[in-house]
Amino acid sequence: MERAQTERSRADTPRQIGPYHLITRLDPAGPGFPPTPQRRFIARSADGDRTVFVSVPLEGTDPGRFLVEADAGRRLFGPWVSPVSEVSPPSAAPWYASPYLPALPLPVALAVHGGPLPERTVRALGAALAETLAGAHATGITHAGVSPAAVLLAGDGPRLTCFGAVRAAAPDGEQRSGIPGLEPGSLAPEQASGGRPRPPGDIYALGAVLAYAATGHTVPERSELPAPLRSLISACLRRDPADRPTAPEVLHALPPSSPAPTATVLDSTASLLTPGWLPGRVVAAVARQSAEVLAAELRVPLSPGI
Amino acid sequence: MLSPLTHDDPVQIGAYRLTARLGSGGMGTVYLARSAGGRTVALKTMHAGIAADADFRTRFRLETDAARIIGGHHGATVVDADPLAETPWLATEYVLGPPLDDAVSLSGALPEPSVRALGAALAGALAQLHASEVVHRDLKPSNVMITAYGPKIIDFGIARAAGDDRLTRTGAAAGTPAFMSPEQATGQEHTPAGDVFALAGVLVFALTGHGPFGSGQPADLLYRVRYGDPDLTGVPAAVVPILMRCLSKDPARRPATMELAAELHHGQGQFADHLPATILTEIARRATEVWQHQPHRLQPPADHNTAETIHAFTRAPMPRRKVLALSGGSALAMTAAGVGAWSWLKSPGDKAAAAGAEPSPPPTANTPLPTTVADRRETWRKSIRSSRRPLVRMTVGEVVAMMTDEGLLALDARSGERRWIAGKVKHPRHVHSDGKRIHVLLPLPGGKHGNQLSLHAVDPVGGRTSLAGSFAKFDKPLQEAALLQVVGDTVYLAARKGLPNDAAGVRAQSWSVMAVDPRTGTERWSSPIRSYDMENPEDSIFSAFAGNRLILCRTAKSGGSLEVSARDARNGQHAWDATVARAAATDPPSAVPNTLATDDTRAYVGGNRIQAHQLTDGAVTWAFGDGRSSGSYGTPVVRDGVVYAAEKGRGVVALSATNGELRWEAETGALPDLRVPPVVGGKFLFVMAETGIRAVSLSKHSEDWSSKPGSPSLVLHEDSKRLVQSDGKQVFAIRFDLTY
Repeated sequence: MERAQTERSRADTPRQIGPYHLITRLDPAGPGFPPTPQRRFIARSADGDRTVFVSVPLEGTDPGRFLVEADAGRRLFGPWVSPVSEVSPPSAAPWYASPYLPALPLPVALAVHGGPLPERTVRALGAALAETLAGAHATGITHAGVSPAAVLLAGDGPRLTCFGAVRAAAPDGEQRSGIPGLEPGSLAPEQASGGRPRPPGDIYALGAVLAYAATGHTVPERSELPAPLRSLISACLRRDPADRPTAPEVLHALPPSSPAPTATVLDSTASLLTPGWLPGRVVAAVARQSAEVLAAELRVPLSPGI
Repeated sequence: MLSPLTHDDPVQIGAYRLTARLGSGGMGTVYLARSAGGRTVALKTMHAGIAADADFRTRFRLETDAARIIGGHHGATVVDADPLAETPWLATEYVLGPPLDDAVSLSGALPEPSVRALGAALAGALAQLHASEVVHRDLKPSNVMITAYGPKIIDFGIARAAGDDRLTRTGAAAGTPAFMSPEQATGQEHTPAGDVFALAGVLVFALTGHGPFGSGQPADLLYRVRYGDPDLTGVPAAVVPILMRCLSKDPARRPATMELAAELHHGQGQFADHLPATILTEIARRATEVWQHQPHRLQPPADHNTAETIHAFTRAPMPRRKVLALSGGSALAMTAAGVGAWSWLKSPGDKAAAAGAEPSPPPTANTPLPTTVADRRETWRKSIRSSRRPLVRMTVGEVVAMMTDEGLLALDARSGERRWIAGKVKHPRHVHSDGKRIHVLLPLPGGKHGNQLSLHAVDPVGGRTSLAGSFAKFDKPLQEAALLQVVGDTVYLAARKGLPNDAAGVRAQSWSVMAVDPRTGTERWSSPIRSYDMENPEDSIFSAFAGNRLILCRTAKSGGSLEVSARDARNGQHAWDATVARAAATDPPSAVPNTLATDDTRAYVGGNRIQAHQLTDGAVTWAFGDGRSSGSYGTPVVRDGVVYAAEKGRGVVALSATNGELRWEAETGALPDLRVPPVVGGKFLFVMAETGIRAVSLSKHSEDWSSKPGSPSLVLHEDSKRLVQSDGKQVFAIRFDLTY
């Protein structure tokens, strides 16, 4: 399964997106994996110097909205965000790029680990996402794209991607359930029915992601959830947006209670990302991806058509 | 660790553009590099100088072959190689994981399950190697990289066979025979069973943090390897029996690799399952770091410019014997650059500097320190803050001391760490060292006026100063006195007599050299320095003390000749004078000698020729250089009856101190820098050349190796085997005892 994320681009995928030559798809295709709202690749500039994640919209989706959201994604900051570094020029086929770093989409991490992730990993993941969302919400930004596939796990912490995927999939006012690319369990009820994405929707999606990490699916039975996280995740998944906790509240609730003095809320993510936060096999898969991409060699055509 | 490229690293090797330095060792440098298609590799090079030796080139090729045989599963995948290039190179995958020695220093001794998995994987790797009839011969912790998928064995025997102890690594194993097999230690054939012995040692190291035969002097270790029982203290009981069998002195009793693998580990689970979190984290860190590295290249050292002219203050290698040479502290140069603004040892051509208009180098904090060594031999590098160049430098005890803007700074010769700083010492002319002690002139504590001077001894260990003489009766101000020599109970000074506001012409006449009793300040004798011209930056004075002679050496104002005058140290009586002409007006002014080499009977000076002067009467005992094409020599040094000097445009000459006969000569691979006297140490004569230090073998009389970069000063610290250089902004040390 771990090979899936580095499998060679298939014949039906382009060889080049914008200035970037594709090395491999980032997401595995196939049943059993939650959908990804974009097609994502690891790619490299022709001179071999820059390696990036590059994303393109799914077929049949609105390229305009994709680009608007990609561009808006530049406003999202923080250590646990995969930053949008480049957006396709107007009039070209749409894409955006982020600097590459070795990372696995959350569903792939579960696959290589062989099942749900340890509680410790779930807490660290939750703290990083909650910290990122708290920062966004405080500046009036709703992410509107949190889902299992939108979360990458890198060696030093998670990275949130797919900014605005919900809005890109369908404009406000339109039904969003059943749209390809949107993971239904991560879509808050008020957004599924076409509501404008607001911070509580991000919290719902965060709960779904944590549930996924802890159980392998986004709509778990309450009893499946690890007991210490049960009430927190359930609170995030409440149907009424007003009943869900805020991102700072989630962040505050995640560090395990400890007799030792704890740092401030802002440091809580770092305190969870200590050695061992990521299971060994996930680290190994991240390292292997790094090694394989390091070893990848572009076979750049000498001239078009060759 | 990824480090920036240095200014003299190549841009590209083979088809690979270099992006970072990974490390540097005795044989060569390892780079991170990238192909045109963006493939990242570790690119190992062998120094061209070493590759000139057919044996080493063959070893490099063998290592390349061995790396291909072991393959990418148990080793680093070989991507490309050119063992025939002038600089042979080998490109392999960049292995994402720490070497075992680093892993153990990171996380401490590894848990038994980790070591079992490690041992089984290594035994499997050896089995594969041995099946191809390759024996590793140098299995040790630093040669085992821990990746998430299993260990990878790197660096086949070549490095150790070549006597390299992996300069860039530290750790119990580095550079010691701690993991050698007994048969290897006795010079017998090292068979596959020898690799099994070494593997057991590596596992003991992983389990306990030390090898089974401890550490220490190589000879002791070899003895223990051959005859001693392995120390398995701390090894979990369950693995003791199998390790003991591996460590059997008799190769026939050691288990085969596959048997060892089976006994160590059941083979279930993935390797990563057995790794401690700290090592997994380190692997993840390395896997990520390589993508975050921004290729960049360090600028050349700011002062590393051959056009820059500097009067070196360097001294000859410091005397174990009674060979007295000028120490920097005894040098004296006087230029008027405004009231009280002394410009120390500025070169004559350096007008801006002489006028005090030179911009200050950036302070220490702003000077980017390279994170890596610029040279494979480099062991440390420190930024210093000094607006004067060059610095007074001396080696005393365990420190190398130099004058900086902060005061007299002492760095640990071995590590480069700051040991102490004597902040009250303001000027290099107030410092003197004879190689054993350091003396300084300081304001007299509680003195009548702030500038009354006193003599202090500086403890080279802690930098504390203790009053050695209060100079109670001495009325010359500190600002106009220079410490020349401290011999027995006498201090030799140069000081201005007369009033500070004398007219300049009077001043020029008013300098004297004097012998003073430091306790009282009583003058024992005083002798005027003839027409000393403090306005002229070329008019600098250096001193030496030998054979009851206090010798002053001046670069005179006219014609750039070197004037030597000797006084009887007991009574100041003028003994003799001598002049050595500068070779040619076209010579760089910096070629003017500035230190004086002496032994018990003669003083040796360089210029258009090398002259030996009898200390007693100044008679020229011999002269060397007439009739040779060069006609220009740097300042000589003398050691063990041989006088060494750089010869312009060629290299070095070694002369008999007794009669000046040419013992041997050698060309250096780059033009020698006449400003810097050669340094004798160990097996080598170190000659500063335009591009760096050239090490000339004292036995082969030919250049053996070289080291970049160069700098206008060079001293040697024998105990630590360090050559310490400085360009005024940085001080750096290289080891000179490394052999290939």
